[in-house]
Amino acid sequence: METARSLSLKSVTKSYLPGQNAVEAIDLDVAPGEFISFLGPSGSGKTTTLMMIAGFARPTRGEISIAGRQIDAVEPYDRNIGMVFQNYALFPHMNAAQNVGFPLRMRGVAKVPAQAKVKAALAMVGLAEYAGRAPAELSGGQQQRVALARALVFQPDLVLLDEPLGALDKTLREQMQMELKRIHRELGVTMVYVTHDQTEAMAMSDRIAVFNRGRIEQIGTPSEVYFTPKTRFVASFVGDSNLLSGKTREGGLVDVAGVGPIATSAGHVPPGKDVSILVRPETIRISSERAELSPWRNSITVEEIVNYGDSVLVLGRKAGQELRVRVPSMEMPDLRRGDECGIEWAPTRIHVIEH
Amino acid sequence: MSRSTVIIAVIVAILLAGPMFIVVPMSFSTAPSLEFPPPGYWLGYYRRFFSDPNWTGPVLNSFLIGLGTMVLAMLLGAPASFALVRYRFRLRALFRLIVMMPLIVPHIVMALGYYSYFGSLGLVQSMTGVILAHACLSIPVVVLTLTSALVNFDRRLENAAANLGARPLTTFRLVTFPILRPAFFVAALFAFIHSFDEAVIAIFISGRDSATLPRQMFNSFQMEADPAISAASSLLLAAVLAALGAQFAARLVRKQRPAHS
Repeated sequence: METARSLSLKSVTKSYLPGQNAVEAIDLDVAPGEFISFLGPSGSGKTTTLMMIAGFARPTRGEISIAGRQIDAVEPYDRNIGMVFQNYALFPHMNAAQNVGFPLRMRGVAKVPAQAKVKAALAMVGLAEYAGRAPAELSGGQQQRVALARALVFQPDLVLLDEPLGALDKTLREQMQMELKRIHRELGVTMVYVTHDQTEAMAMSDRIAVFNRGRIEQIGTPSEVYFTPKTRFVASFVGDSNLLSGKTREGGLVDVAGVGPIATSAGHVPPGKDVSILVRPETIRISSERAELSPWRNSITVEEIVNYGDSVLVLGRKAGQELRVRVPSMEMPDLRRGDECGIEWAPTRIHVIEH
Repeated sequence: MSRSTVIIAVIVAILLAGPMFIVVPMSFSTAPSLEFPPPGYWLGYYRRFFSDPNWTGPVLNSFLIGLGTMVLAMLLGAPASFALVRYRFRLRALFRLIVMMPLIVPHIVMALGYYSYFGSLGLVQSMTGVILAHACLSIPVVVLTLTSALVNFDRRLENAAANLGARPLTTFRLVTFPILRPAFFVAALFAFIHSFDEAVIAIFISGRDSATLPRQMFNSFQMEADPAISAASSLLLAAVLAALGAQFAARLVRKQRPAHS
């Protein structure tokens, strides 16, 4: 779509109280048409950043631009940004069509073309037949769709979504994720999506910005963030993880206390450094026989087995170090609590985080 | 509910509603003076009430003063409510206390104050004086009604409107006000009723030409015990009940067909 715009934040800082920054020196460049997620726990600054882009909060320092034009002095009502609010924020005294038509009315779009656009927008979200319904007469998922149609109907430069699926149940949430992706693909509009749900961010985004304590810890594609996190926080917040502390040796080996040397992908790290290594639980293979100790093999004592249906999580222990192993159900060997079993990993899958 | 609770409830109900059951039948009485129970029933008092300018004049005055009070109390009370709910400013608690004061200060004390203060301003015995004094009494009622509605108002709706391109005044006109309309309606109604049935201040500062219905009732009762007073009482009661009933009916209608503006 020709309205796709880039978004850029330059050292944006927001402090509500002197000396305490809710958001600190955020630098971010979003390409036209990109779908980017702000992922982080509550209070990490992701919503504050979103509010500054929307214009409801003003940065204490720094600047925000859309398509190269600085917008800090522009009032929210002049920004031409679509937004889907956490609890939809539909106008309760207007029906679905009136809600969707509101931004067109504000822009002085004539009645006939406005009606056509409203109709098209409602059809796009699959609610063509619900135009006359009041928000109170719609289900949560339907309200969500109306809110989405309302945020898209006026061809905004940018669409912001603030935890839009948080209130929906799991099945509906997954369905809406697919639908959002489809709409994003069809319209090609730049979207910024705030969520604390890492699977949602992984499933939908072109890139993810991981927020923690008012800063962006890492920006990258879902697989970059997942497999090569830059910090321990990112490693532990995104996905399930084994994070072990150790010291580097020659040849990419890392000594972990009690476990022994582990072969990793980090040949470039000089020896003698304190590092963390990340082993994703699903990259570990398990067998019922005890393994011969080597830098890519070890053995653990099974402490707990949790069956998720599609996969099984084995919680094991090796000399005070807890290890999580996730095995596809089909490949799960016959193990009980207390058993000792062998584990094996591919050194290329083991990522080293330098401190 | 236990039997004793029921008995207490019935006694309280009788005490509360009792005067109504005496005054209303009395207004339809045939007796030449106030008498209960009435010896017979007719509409004579009402005929007398509506043909006597000593009664119809005050009715009109009460309406005008009530309307004036309503407009003034809303114009002052609504912005005050928004300020109290939405902004944190210095001396906010003191401001709220001052606004609420007329609810606590005895009316007779307020009336005396107004009497001496308005005297020097030449506002005693004028409609303007009564409207000003009644507005002060009604503002706390307006503020109480509007602030409790405003506290529950989701401000994200205003953010959403701004985000969609509405300027602040447009947002108020198209979003905030329509959603809070029931509260505004109730606040205005209460302001009106508060003035319409207020007697103490009206007795002190309304003059002969600006006498309100309650004042005229008081005078009549003292001077001549005109039995038309029972018709006046019943009409006053009916007016207040009708106003409250209208509000209730409006709410029912809204519930049945939501949001077809």
